[in-house]
Amino acid sequence: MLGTLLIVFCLAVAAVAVLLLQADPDDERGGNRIVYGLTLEPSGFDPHRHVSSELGIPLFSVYDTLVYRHPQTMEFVPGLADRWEMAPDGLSWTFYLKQGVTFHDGTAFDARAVGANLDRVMNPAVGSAKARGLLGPFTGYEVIDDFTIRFNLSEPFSPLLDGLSQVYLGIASPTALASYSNNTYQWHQVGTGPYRVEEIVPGDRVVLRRNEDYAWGPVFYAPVSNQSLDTIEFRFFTDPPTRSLALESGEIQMIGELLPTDTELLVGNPALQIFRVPIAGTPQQFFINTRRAPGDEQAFRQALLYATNRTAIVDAVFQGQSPLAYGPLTAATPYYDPGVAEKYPFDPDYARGLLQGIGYQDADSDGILDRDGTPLELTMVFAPWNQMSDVAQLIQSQWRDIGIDVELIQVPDYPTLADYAQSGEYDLISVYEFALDASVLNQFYSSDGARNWSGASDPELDEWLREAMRVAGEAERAQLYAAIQDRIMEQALVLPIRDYVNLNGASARLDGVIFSAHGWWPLLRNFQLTP
Amino acid sequence: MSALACNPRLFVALGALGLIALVSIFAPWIAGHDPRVAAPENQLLEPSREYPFGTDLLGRDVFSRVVYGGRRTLGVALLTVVVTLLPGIAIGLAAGYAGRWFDWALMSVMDALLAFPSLLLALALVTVFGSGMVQIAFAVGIAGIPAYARVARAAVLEARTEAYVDAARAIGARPVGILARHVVPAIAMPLLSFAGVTLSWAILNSAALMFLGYGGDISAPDWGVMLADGRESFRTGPWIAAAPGVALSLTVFAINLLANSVALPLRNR
Amino acid sequence: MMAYSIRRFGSALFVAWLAMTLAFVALRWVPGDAVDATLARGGATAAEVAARREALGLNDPLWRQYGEYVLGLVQGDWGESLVTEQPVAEIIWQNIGATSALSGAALVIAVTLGVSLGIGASLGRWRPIRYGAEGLAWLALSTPVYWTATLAIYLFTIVLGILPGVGGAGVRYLILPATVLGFHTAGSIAQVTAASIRDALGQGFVRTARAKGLPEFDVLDHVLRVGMLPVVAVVALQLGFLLSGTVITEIIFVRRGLGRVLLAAIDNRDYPVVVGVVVLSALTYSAINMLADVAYRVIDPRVRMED
Repeated sequence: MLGTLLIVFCLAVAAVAVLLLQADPDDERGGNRIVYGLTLEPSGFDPHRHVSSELGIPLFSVYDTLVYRHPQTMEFVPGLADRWEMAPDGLSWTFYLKQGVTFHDGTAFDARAVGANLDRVMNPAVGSAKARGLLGPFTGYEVIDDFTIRFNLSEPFSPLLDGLSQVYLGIASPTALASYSNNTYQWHQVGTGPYRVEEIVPGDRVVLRRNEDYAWGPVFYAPVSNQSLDTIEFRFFTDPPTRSLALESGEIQMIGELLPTDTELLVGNPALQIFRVPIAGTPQQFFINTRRAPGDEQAFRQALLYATNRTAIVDAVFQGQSPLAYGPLTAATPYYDPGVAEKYPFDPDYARGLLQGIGYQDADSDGILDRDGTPLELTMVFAPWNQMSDVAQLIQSQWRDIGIDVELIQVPDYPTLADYAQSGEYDLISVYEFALDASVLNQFYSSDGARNWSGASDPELDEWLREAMRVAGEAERAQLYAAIQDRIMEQALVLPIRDYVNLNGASARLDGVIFSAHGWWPLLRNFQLTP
Repeated sequence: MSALACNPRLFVALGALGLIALVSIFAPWIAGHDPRVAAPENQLLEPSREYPFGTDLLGRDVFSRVVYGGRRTLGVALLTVVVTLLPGIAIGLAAGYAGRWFDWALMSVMDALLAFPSLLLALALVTVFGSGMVQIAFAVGIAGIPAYARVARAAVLEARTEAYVDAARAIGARPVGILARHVVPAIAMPLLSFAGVTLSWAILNSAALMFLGYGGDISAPDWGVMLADGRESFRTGPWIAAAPGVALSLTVFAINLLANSVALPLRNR
Repeated sequence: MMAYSIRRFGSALFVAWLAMTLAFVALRWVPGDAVDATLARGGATAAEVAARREALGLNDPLWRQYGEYVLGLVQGDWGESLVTEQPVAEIIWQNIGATSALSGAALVIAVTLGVSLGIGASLGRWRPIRYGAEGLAWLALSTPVYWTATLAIYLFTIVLGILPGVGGAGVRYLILPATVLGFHTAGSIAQVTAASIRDALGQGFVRTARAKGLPEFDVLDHVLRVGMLPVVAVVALQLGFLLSGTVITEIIFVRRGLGRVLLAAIDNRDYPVVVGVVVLSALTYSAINMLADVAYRVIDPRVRMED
C-alpha cells in the first residue's frame, strides 16, 4: 500500500513538473519597463464599443484624438487636428488635420481615415454605446480634401469637442479596422499614439511598447528621453487589499483606486508616492425614486438630504480624502455651481420637522416613524464598488436615528443593478458616471434619459438640458447649468455623497506622473523612470 | 454520563460548543453595544475596556458584533449542513447499496451538480428568492450534497464487502434491515467526520460567496462578512478580522472535535 | 471490460449534458443578459439594445437557443463569447494551463500534507505529534482562503521579502498560491484520512493479525489500504473543486485561470462561456471519477464494481 502511494505520488509530481515547465517565462527584455495595475477587467477593450474608463488607462496612449484637453488649463488644444472651425449656425464643424502622421502599421493618416472611424462608430452593427453617444446629433461627414473633414450635425452640440478629446473616439488605423471583424479588432489595436499595443491577453495583461516614430503629440506631451518608458505591462488587480501589497513589494510600479486606509499607510513610505486625482462627472450618489411613495413627495426627499451627515461618511469611509459632494456634479467638473453647497447642511432636527410636517409620527414608539399605520421603510440598492457598502451602512445607521428603517440590497454586478432600475422596486439606487462635460447630466435627469433612475419629469429641466447642449457660449452654458443644478437640488432628485477622487500610488522612481484632463488616464508619454 | 468521563474530547467539544451557543443565545445581555449602530467618530479604536475587541471602520463595537455574529453564522451553517446531510446520506446510501443502474443514475446527477458552479447556483437562488443568508445556505447546501453523497457511497461500498453483510443477506434479511443494523453503524465514522468537514465548508463557502458579492443583509454582523471586510483594514486594525477569525476557528474546531469524539465510541460498539 | 468502458463513457456524456442543461437554464433564468452587461451600461438607446439582442439571438425562445447551442456543440463548435466573440474553445485553451498548474501543484501539496497529517493524527506515536497534526488540520479547515492568502502575501512578500509579489507569471509566482490553496485543501483530506484510519484500526482483523504476530508494517499496510477508500473519494472531489475554478485564489494572487473566466462570464451573463466551462468541468469530473474507481479497485480488490 505504502509502495503504491509512493509511486502514485512520484507520478503526480512529475505531471505537475511538466505543467510548470509550460508556465510563461519572465519577460527579460531590457529598457525602461514598468508594471501598471488596472483595477477591473472591462468586458472588452475596444474603445469605440466599450464603456469602461479603465480601458482608457492603457489605450489613451495608443491612440491620438482629433483634439486634446490640456490637463492643467482644460482648454482644447490641437491633436490630430491642427485647427477647427464651427459654422455660425453650429450645424457643422470643419477640422483641418495634421500632415505627416502615420499609424503604427504604416498606414498614412488622412481625412479618409477619420471617416472610416466615424463610419465604424455610427454603424449599429458595431454596437457602439459611449462613443456613439459622445457624437450627439452627428448625422454624417464630408471629406473636403486629404486633410480636411467636415462633421454635420442635426442641431448645435457644444459637447462635441470634449467628446472628440476622449479615448473612446481615438482614431484607429482603417487598415486594421478593415482587417479584423468588429469583435476581433480589440485584440489587434492600431493607433497613432506614443505607444503601440504589443499584446492584449484577455483576463491577463496588456503590454505596450514605445512608438519610436511618434512626433506629433499635443503641446503637453514631453519629449522623449533615455528615462522614458519603453515597455508598460498592465495586469488586473481586482481585489482592493492586494493593490497596496503589490505596490509595496515592488511588484508593480503604479496602480490606482487604492483603499483610503491603505493610502494613509503608504504616505509615509519613502519608496512610494501618492497622487490624489479628482475626477469630473457625477459624484458617488443615490438617486431617489420619485415614481413611488414616499419618494414622490419633495419634502420627504429633502428630509433625507438633511438627515445625512456627509462629513462623517467622508471622514470615516474615505479618510477625509475626498471633498463632500453637494450637487449633481463634482467640484472638478466645468460648470459646477458652488451655490449647491449652501443647500442641505446636515440638520437632523430640521429633517424630523419636515417628516412630521408631512404626517410622519412614531405612533407605536418602536423607534420607526409611521404614517397611517405604515412604517417608514426604504429600500436602498447599490453595487459594492468604491466602498459603497460602507457608505450605505453608515447612512442606514444615520437615518435610523431619525426613525427611518432602511433595507440594504447589495447587488453583485451591473446587470442586476440595471434590472432593479427597470423594475422600479427601489427607493434609492446608486449609479454614477464620469465625464468632463456637464452634459453627462442628460442621461440621468432628462425625462427620456437612458438612465433616468430618479424618474425625473420636469419639462423645464428637459428644456434647459437640451438647450445647454446646443448653445456654444461659455457664459450661456454656465448660466443654464447653474439653473439645472439648482433645480435638481431643489427637487432633491439625488443624494450626493462625495466627489470621486482616484487614489493612485506609484513608485518613487517614477517622475513626470501626470493625468489627462478627465482624470482617469495617465499620460504615459511623460513618465520617466529614474534609476 | 460515564461516556463523558472516558471521553475528554467529547467533554471539551461539548463544553466549547455549549459556551458558543450560550453566548449566541444571550447575545443581547453579553454584548455591550448595539452591533449595528455606527459611530464613525470612534472608528478603528484599539481594544480597550469599553471596546474589548476595538472598533471597526464605521465605529461599531467588534466585540458586540462577534457576539451577535455567532447567531447568524451558526444558524446559516446548521441550515446548510441539514440541507446537505440528509439528501446526501440518503442518496449515497441508496446508490451504494442498490447498485446497478440506480447507482449510475444517481451518481450521474450528482456529478452534474458537482460540475455546476456554486456561484451560479447562488446567483440563481438570489435572483428568485432575493438576497439573503438563507438563500446562500441553500446554495452552499445543495452544492455540498454531491460531495457528501460520494463519500457516503464510498463508505457503503466498503461496508458492503464485509462478511456479515453477505451473511445477513444469505439468511434473507431485508435490505432496509441490513442497512440500518449493519451498514449505517459501519459508515458512521467517516460520515460523521465528514459532517464536521461539511460544516466547516458551509461556514467558509458562505463567507466566500459573500466575499464575491452575493450576500444578503450586509450590515448584519456575521463572522464571514467581518473577516472579509477585515481584510481591508488588517494593517490599520488587525483586531477587526482577528476577533471573528478566532471565533470562527474555535467553532469549527469544536465541531470537528465533537464529530470525531462521537464517532469513535459508535464504531467500537 | 469493453462494455464497461463504453458505459462509463456514455455516463460521462450524460453527466456533461445534464450539467450543461442546468447551466443553460440557470443562466437564462437570472435577470439581465449579455447586452445589459455591455451595451446598456454605456447608455445605448433602447433601439440599439434591442437590435443587438435580436442579432445575438437572445430573443429566441429558450428551447430554440438551447437546440442551436447543442447542435453546435455536437459539431465541435463551443460557441463564441457574447461579449468579445472570442471562440469559447480558445478562451478555455488560453486559461486551462494556468488553472491546471495551480490545481496540480496545490493538489500535490494537499495530498502530501493532508495524508501525512492524517496519518500523524491517527497513528502518531507521541501525543505532541498527534495533537499537532490534528491542530494543523483544524487550522486549515477553519480559516477562509481569502484570509490566509492576504496574510501570506503580506508576510512573505513584504515582511520577509523572500517571495515575489503577486501579479507575475512563472514558477516562482506559483509557490505562494499553490501552497495556500494546498494547505486549505489538505485540511479535509487530513480529517478524512485520520477518521478512516482510526476506523480501520478498530476493525476485527487488526486484532487478529496482531495476535497472530504479523509484522506491524503489514498490519499498518492493510489498515492504510482499507482506510484509503474514503480518502480517494475526498481527493477526487477536491481535484474537481480545484479544477473547476479556484476563483478567489486567482483574484487575490492576480493569476489568470478558468475561475476568473467563469466569474466574469457569470457577471456578464455570457452564457456560451459559462456553459462551456461547466461542460468542461463535468467531463473532468467524470474522468477523475473513473480514475478514482480504478483506484478503489486497485486499493481494495474486494470492492465489487458494478457490471
